Amino acid sequence: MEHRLYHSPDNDLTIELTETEIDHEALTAAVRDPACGAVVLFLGTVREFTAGRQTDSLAYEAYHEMAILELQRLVGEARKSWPLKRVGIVHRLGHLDLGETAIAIAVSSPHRAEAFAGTQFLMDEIKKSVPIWKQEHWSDGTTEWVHPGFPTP
Amino acid sequence: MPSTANITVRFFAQLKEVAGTGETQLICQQAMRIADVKQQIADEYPLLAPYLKSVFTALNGSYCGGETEVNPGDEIAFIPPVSGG
Repeated sequence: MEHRLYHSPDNDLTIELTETEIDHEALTAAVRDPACGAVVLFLGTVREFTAGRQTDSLAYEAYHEMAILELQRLVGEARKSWPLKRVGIVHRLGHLDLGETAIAIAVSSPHRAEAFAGTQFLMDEIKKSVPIWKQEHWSDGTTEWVHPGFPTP
Repeated sequence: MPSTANITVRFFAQLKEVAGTGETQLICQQAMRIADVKQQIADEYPLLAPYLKSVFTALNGSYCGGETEVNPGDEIAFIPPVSGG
């Protein structure tokens, strides 16, 4: 089973890629800090309908080594704009059922505006550049890798 | 064991399915660039060719352009459009 865990040297960033269920309560607890008045938790969950098509389940695959490097880079970018104290990011891999959590991002910051903005930035950028891919298992029995902009086979 | 004179090329998601493998080795030539690796892969795996215009490339875990030089022992990855989150 694939599992990767990264802790920054001063313990203000945790990144995890896992095939087991995400414990978002533990992730949220880990970013709490007495210097902070705000903790934001974002969960991305498996949706049943996409543009009218019905999903049965998803499978996620990652280029693990690069995904962790790219997530570190994005958190560094976010910290140039907002004073994020602690950040925790967990992405689920392998098979996921409807409603399960695919990604959890927890951020703490002295004030809420920075925590909201930093979390939104991270989620938006993750969708653009982190080498993780989703395979749709549609309810009609077909499967499809989601590669926006790819030529159709 | 892969020879240190080789480079490793990795494929993911649909590219892996089309190629029928997650990785392959190429012999690293003198003054080889990412664009040369792409060309060699297109020749070796003709079914991948239509997709290669739309893939990003990474060298040892960082995105890189076609002119980037490749050295023995490097890992090159073809990154299809991502869909995590």
